[in-house]
Amino acid sequence: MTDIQAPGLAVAPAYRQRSPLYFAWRRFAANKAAVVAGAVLLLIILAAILAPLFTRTGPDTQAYLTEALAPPSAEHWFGIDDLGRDFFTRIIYGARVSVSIGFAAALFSVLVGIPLGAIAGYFGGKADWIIMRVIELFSVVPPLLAAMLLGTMTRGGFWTIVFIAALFGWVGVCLLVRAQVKAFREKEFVRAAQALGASPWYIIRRHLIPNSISPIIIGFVLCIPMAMMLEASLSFLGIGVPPPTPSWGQMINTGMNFMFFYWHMAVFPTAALAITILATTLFGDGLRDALDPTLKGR
Amino acid sequence: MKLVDIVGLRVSFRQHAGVVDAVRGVSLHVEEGESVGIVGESGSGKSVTCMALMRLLGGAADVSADSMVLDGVNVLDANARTMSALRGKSAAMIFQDPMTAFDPVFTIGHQIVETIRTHRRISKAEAREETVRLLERVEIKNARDVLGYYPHQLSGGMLQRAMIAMALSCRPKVLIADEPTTALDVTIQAQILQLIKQLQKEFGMALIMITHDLGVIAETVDRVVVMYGGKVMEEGPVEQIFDNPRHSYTQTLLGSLKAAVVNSPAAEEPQSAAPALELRDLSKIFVLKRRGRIFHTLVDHQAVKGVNLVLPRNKIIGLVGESGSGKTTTGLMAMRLIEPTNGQVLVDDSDISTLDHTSLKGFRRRMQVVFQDSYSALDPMMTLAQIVAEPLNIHGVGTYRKQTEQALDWLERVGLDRNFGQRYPHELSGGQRQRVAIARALILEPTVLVADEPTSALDVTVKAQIIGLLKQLQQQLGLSMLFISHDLSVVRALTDEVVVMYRGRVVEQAPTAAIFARPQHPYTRSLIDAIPVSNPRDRRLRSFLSAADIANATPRLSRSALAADADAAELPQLVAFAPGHLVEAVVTQ
Repeated sequence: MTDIQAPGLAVAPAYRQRSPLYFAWRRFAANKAAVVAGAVLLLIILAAILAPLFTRTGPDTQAYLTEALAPPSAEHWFGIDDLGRDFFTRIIYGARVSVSIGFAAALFSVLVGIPLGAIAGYFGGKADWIIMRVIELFSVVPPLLAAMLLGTMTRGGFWTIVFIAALFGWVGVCLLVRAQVKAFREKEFVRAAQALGASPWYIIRRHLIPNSISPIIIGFVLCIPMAMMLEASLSFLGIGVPPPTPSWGQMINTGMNFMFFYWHMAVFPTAALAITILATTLFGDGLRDALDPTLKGR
Repeated sequence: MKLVDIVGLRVSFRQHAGVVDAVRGVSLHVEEGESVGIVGESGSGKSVTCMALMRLLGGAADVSADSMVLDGVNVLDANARTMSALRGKSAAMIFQDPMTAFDPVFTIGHQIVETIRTHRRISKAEAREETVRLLERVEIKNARDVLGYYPHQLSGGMLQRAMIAMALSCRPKVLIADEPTTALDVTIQAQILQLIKQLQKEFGMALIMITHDLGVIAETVDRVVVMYGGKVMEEGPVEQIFDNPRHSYTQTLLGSLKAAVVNSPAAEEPQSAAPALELRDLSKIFVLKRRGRIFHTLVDHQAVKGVNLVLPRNKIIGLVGESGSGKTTTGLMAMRLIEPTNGQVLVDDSDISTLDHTSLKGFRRRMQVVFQDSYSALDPMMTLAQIVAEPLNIHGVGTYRKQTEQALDWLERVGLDRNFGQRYPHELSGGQRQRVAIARALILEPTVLVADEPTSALDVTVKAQIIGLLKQLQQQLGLSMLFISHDLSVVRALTDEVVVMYRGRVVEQAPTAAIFARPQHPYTRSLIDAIPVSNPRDRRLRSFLSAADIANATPRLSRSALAADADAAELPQLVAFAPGHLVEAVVTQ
């Protein structure tokens, strides 16, 4: 028997292969602001889905016409609006429209932006040239004007807004992804994968897109408020979500008319929009840090 | 009087996880005009010590010392104004990476003039004249042109010279050089070191040379301080340290320097089978864009000119040359990572230079590559197990479980622990990362490995370990290796045959022993001459050849002196000088 062992062999702890997602979750959990933001976001989404369970009237029911424009009270937390509807109920139902438009538009932007950005960045040359010209086309057209044109042509509605927001949202994501892919294409691990015989698609999928996770999340998070704003603007112009379907944008615009006398009409929808956007941004930040293993503990 | 006197210096860094002690009680003194070397591996606290002396450490550092005096000023409680006067006037620093030490948006001239004018009240014109003189002094020939250049327009060696000129601009009493040549080629390194020595003598400065390379120490300094783990291990005159090291760590360091010089003779065996890799008349022309007034013009740049190379089975061939000599391009063309403009690449006697992606994939299993920069060679988003298993994944070998299992086995095989599998590359040191890169390259058990400067970014001790690992794996797997390097001491230790490239051409090719014993081409000679000495007693004044000198000194051989016949011609050609020893020469009748 010998007392001397090689240092590498001395301790052989039971090895457990943990998935990268496990570590991502641990990093995410360490970020308190992101966890709180995530909880708030979850609450908002749950409230939107389960709205009928904790509201007494429907969003369009004019049950309190006699008390129209009443300020917040114990019975009506957010007061009553100008048409005698419970404002709390309207805000909750409004989350359905705003949140789903925000997320759907961001999702479509990312789905279009990632592949196009990756193709432009990785292959360069002609593909890059064509994609960049298309992007330029979109950046010289004012989004609101185009949106109004499209909105009038299609008479507005939920999916039109999602379509318009995605149409202008993918440009940002595409540019961010392209820049990141271009920077990483020259890295030696991409060369190493090429030397192993990996196809361009494999390299894009396995290396370049995971390494673009921060710009993708930034792009995604930036798209959400943009879509929500677009929805609000279009609703204001009468070509967005048609009333009486509640939407925060619409409510802010109505509330503006009453702002100096009935403050609750403007404050609550604005606060709802602000809180949702803030929670999304903080959550996105946390998600980005969690998914990037190189940013350990800060 | 002591110029620098540090007693009991302690530096610790506060991090979120706790306190890291970087320097633990270091005492150091430098007399006027003396040259002192601080040697140690990365993380030994050698740079931090000097940064603390200049008070350049950030807010996260806790610095305490019994006393720390620089040029008669107590650095510990000097105010900001005294400190900034001290920096530059009493002590100036030059850094490892000259590329990042200059601000990329200002011209070289502007930056040096600014430095002069912050320390001395002279006019702009005078400062410009002074700058020209300084640049000329550091042997920059077209000094007046260089004034108007931006940092990216100069090569690494030239920038380092400009950096030295900037450091000298305030006539410092001590020059602190922090790994000034680590990022440079061997020949340039020798030139820069010689320049620093000359300037030190001329200006009567003291010199603190921080390095991990004992060769640099042997070349430049009088007294050596060996550091390890934030402590001084040993201190003494340079001869004493080299001849009679007392501390075991110093012995290890010296051991890794000496080990690099001894080469185990490779057993000669008859070569019957086809060579593992053959390059035939390989050329590459890059088309560069030159900016004109309105339009770009396209300029051809011939990076590699007609390289022929045969890599026999189970042998290691070294490909050496300075940066820009086309050696990396040749290596990448052999791997079909860069498309050759001309010529053929043969793997096991089949031409792969025209194959498309699908038919090439089978050959990819037989040839692999290890890169220089181990940091960018590993995907930061993947765990080590995923990285090492990637080749199996791409070629669809085995199930996911089996791939992971095999990857972990290979981690062990390259000397890492199995539980490293779930770590990420940024948690590893440079040497460990290079081990992972080697594991990834070899997991498919290829027959050919192209190693592109795999050790040039590593510390000496780690370098020796990686060389040992490569050699061991090469013997176990029967690999044929193309080892690309500018570090001749490594090439000497590892390879069976050496190919010297200069400006895209092969200028000499011979068995390793022959080329070091009887170098024929002037460029090979200057490369070998530039290797830092391994003993301070061998120091000498070197003379350096310019490109024109090398062209003029091309050997002239008469036809009768050749081992194999060649036609007489005015232009240099690659001819057999002795059996197995090729050299570029002008053949005369």
